[in-house]
Amino acid sequence: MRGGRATTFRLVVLALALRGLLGANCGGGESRTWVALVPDASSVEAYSLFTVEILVTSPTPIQAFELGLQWDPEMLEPVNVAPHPDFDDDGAFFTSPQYDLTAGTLDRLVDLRHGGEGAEGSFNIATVEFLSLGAPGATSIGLTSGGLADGNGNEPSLTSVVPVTITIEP
Amino acid sequence: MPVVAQPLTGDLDGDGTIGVDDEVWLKAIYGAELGDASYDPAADGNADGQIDYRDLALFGSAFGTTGGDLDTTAPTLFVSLNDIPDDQNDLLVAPPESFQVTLGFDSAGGSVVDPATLSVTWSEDLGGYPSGSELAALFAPSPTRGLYAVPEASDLPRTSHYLTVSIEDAAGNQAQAVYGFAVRDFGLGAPMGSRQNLFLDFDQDRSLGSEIDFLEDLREFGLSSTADLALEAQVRDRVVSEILVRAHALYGRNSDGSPGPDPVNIIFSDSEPAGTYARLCVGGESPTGPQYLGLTLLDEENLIDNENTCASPQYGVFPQAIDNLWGGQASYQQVFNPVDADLGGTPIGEDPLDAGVLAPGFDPGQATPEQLARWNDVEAAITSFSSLLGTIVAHETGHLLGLTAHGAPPAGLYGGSSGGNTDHNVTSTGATPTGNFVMNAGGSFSFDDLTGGSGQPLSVFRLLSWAYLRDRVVLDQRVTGLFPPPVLSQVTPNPAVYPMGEYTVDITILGEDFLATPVVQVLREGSPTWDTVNNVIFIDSQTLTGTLNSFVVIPDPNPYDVRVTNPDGQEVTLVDGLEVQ
Repeated sequence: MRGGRATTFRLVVLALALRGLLGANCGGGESRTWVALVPDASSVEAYSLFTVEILVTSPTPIQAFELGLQWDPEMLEPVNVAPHPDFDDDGAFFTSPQYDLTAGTLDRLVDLRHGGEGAEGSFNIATVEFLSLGAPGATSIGLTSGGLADGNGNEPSLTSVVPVTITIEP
Repeated sequence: MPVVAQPLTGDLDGDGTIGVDDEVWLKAIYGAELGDASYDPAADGNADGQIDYRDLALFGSAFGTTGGDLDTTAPTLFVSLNDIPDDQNDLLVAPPESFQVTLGFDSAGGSVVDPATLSVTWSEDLGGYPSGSELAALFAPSPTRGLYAVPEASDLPRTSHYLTVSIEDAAGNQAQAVYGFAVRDFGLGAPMGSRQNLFLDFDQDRSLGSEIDFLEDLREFGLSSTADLALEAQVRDRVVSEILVRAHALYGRNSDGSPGPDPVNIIFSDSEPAGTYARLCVGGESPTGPQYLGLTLLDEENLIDNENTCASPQYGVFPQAIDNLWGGQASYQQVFNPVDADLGGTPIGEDPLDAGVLAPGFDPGQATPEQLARWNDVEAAITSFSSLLGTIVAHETGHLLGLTAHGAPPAGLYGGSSGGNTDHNVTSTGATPTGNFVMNAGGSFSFDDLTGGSGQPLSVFRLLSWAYLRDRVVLDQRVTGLFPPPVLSQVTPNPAVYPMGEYTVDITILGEDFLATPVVQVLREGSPTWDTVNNVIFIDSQTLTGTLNSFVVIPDPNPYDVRVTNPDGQEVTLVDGLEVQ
């Protein structure tokens, strides 16, 4: 284990295209743990719904996580958040996520795997459904807080966080 | 030796398995941190002081495990007033209002404490709650703590009070405690009942050379220099300001002196305040000896609000002692070597960089390496000197407010009465406390204790002192134990008749729980004052005798009220209890 090193997600805007990032990961980035936000479309029409999957790619089995999300509340509003069966084994988050629609944050997105091995490889941990609010332009959604932990309570040694940019079309 | 069960980590209900029930407990306290009321170490699997996703991962990994020991260990339960720790709370006396009853729980390494099982009953009526009522909800219990703030409008009976408390952990193990304390009035008024104004006078010349002592102190330690008088004035004002901030903080006030969440009723100022104030001079060297950093008189129960300690040269705060006390310590040298000329440093005001690094708009983020290094040196010297003196100011002020009254509560506040411990904190065994408390003996502090250097937390008032400063405990030497209140049932003969030609008559007072020897008084109808019964003799706990004197207790057609006051201050009145003819 290379544990003991605290890892906190921050809103890091990386100049990497999501597709390129995943490609790099597939190409041999197995020693790293990635968390990426994967939308079902990179551009959406105003007043339309779209989903964002929170995707983890980890060589270390992940037993539990806590994450937070941040977005521009002038442009987006979440309408639903659900645990993903790739990771979740009981149909519910561990705690109720806490929304602040004015600030554009969602905190306490927490879940765990009950018993046995954690999840490893590439897997989704949650799905968030957003509504675009009509203002055209590009806006980003990022991860803000928390982390992942393996069955020993340790965090993966290095975690990268990739936000996503959504273009809202008029 | 008894075998202590070792429940599985994560078995929060102590049933030997890790399952859904444990998850419910974990949800209830998820997110808590050490110090939070809801934090329970039983759920902190990695013991890092936070119950977070790392603990959740440990729990998830262990989910489904069976075969662990059943938890058969009761949680620990601690009952006190004002959080005063166990070694100091044997016989506390509270005022009839505005104190705190505090409960502490610990899972003792087993399953989590279940706050829903808390039970608290009180031996006396509590506002709208008759004695014996269930009061747990008033304590807003969490897994580690419960607190009931007795309201300001309360008027609790002046007698012995008993709390019966119990709580269970999730495995059903119960802890129980009966805690007793007394309630009495402040005999001489609440010590902090009126605003205390403390004038810190930094502008006197009582020792050293011809300059104001405090300026000479700054120069002695390299905090200023005559080479730049304007900068000296700037540093002087800043140091004084930071001393005030530190002193206010120790007394629960914000940096501007406004009340914090739980403030002591005192305001410090560096100029003469309006109204009544005490005065404490800061500066120079003690005539008592160069190692004396401060000296004032103990004002037990804070009876005097206008001490002028500057009038006596031996009283005050004397910064010159700092290097005598700690000059050999590495942390002292680290702070003062860069600025103290005697130690090879360059005093503030003599380095060409100083005006720049002390300028109001100086931005360390934009500084050159040389500026940044000098700025760090200057800041360390100023903040350490200010913090240390702010604490000593708070310490000497504590003496002026009544800290630390000698002996155990309720006569004192565990203050020592001999040697260096005189008027300073001691433990129940007479030793200097290990905690870094403001009113500890001066010689017990390290340089880091007073400056916060090397990561050492700054000193604070210990909880018994704080309760006193917040008027939450009463000092009462009469209370030597928790006794029931006296009961007065009858006076004989009744009527008491002065024999013809004599001016005295003997009476017998019958009742229960008399202590040797009470005061017995009678009150004539319409009289504003009680008259004393003479020659009271304690026969036993149910019988007293005394003598009426016709010059004091005159015959009257209306019956007298009779009052018996035990030596511990508890009293009982029998209305219309005695006719005198």
